[in-house]
Amino acid sequence: MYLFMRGFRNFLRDFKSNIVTFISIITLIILFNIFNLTSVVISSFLSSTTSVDSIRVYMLDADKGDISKLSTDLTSFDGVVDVQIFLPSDSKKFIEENTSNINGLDKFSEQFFPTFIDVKLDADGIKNIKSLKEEMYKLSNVEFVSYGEKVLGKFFQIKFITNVFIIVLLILVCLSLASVIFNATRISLYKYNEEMKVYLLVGGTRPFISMPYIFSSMITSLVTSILAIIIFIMLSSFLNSLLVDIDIFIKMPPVWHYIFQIIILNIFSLISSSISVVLFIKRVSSVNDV
Amino acid sequence: MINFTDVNLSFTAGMNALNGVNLDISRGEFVYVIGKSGAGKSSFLRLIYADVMPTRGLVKVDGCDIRSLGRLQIPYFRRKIGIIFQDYKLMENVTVFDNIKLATDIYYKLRSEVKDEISLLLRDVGIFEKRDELVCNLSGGEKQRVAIVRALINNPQVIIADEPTGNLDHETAENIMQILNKLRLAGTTILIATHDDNIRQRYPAREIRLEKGKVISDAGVDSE
Repeated sequence: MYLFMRGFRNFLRDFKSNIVTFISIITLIILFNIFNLTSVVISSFLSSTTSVDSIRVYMLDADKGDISKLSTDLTSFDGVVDVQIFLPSDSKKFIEENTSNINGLDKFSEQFFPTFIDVKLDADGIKNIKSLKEEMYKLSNVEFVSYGEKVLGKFFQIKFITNVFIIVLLILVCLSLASVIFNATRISLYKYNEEMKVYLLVGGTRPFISMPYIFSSMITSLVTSILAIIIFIMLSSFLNSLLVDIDIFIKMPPVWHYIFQIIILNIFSLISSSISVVLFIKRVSSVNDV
Repeated sequence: MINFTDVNLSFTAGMNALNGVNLDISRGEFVYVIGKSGAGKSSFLRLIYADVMPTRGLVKVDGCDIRSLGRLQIPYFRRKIGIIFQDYKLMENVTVFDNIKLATDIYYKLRSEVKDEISLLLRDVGIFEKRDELVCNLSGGEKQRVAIVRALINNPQVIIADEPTGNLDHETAENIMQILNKLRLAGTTILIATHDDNIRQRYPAREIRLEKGKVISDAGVDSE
């Protein structure tokens, strides 16, 4: 406690000279959180876009009797809630209604559009979607079964790349923070060089000498990381209050994201400040050099 | 209290700062270490407070072989010794009180716990009224008294003073010697490295003369 109080006193004493450090760390953390927020938004968008609740069964040339038989067969599967039949005319209409920027669609005859059945699934069906797909292939008149796995695969890839990018960015931010703290600690140690040497002269142990400086750096990084996250949350809330008028809401990352960030950043800063202090005190070895 | 047995100390190969030094200093003894510049006086004192280790031989302080001390034990060992330097080694932009308080910090003592003790010692050396002044505003003699109080505050068994009067005028030097003499009478072992003949004549004691790292004479009287 005594050493912690000394560290706190050093933190207060160095506050003015550490303002550049505070600003650097806050900027770094806010920048990181902007990327993190972007990734959370992308991830949430992709999750909603890629949510699967149906499977489509495309048919070979078939008459009405075949269609209604297949539809009955599909309904008998476990996990199937409902089926909806799309004839070529419905398929064309569906594309016209759900796709923009396709010119000349009206020039195509309906016969170029497929007949398909949209099979709605419940939770069990979604869970067993792959085996359902295999089963559906076995039915007669089935040409192709799909739940959009190719597109989904690409979306998952985007999601994965985004997550990797954020992890790499977090590591870079941690390393930057560590080097900022390392240098800031070293600069303030030069200021305490004399004090350190006097402690060595009167019999101060190395942990006694070093701990307050490490505590001081810890307080610096803890205070700045918490401050940076508070500023970021306030900025995002303000942005959300502006965007609410145009019906846009930025979904904030969960609280554990911030807690995790603070823990990781502070572990890095603790390691870097400890290395900085230990290396410095090693140099201040001889009493006679005081 | 302090034993040197065949002690050699060299900082660079072939150049011995101390060469085959053998001597014993008893508890409560007052000793001058004399000799020209480069004779090995400071190296001799540095060995006593384990700032350097002997290249050969045995140095024992209060029964403890300094070579057996690990890096972690040296600070505890050094607490037995109060060290005073010619250039004071004080923190110039810190008050007199806080300079002395630094030495008590190592025992995790609070300001309130050491206030009376520091005040008492400052009164003893006659600079109590300067306790809140910055050291940079003090005279050389006053600074040396602050250094003495800092060396004494943790009740050391040995006081080592490396040219304590070297930067001071005659009157101030006399004053400092009176303080050290009072400590001697109180039973503290005191070693002083000095060039000052006047001081030695006024306060006669055992004199260890060094030349080129060797003890060339060890004589004198302890007036006690």
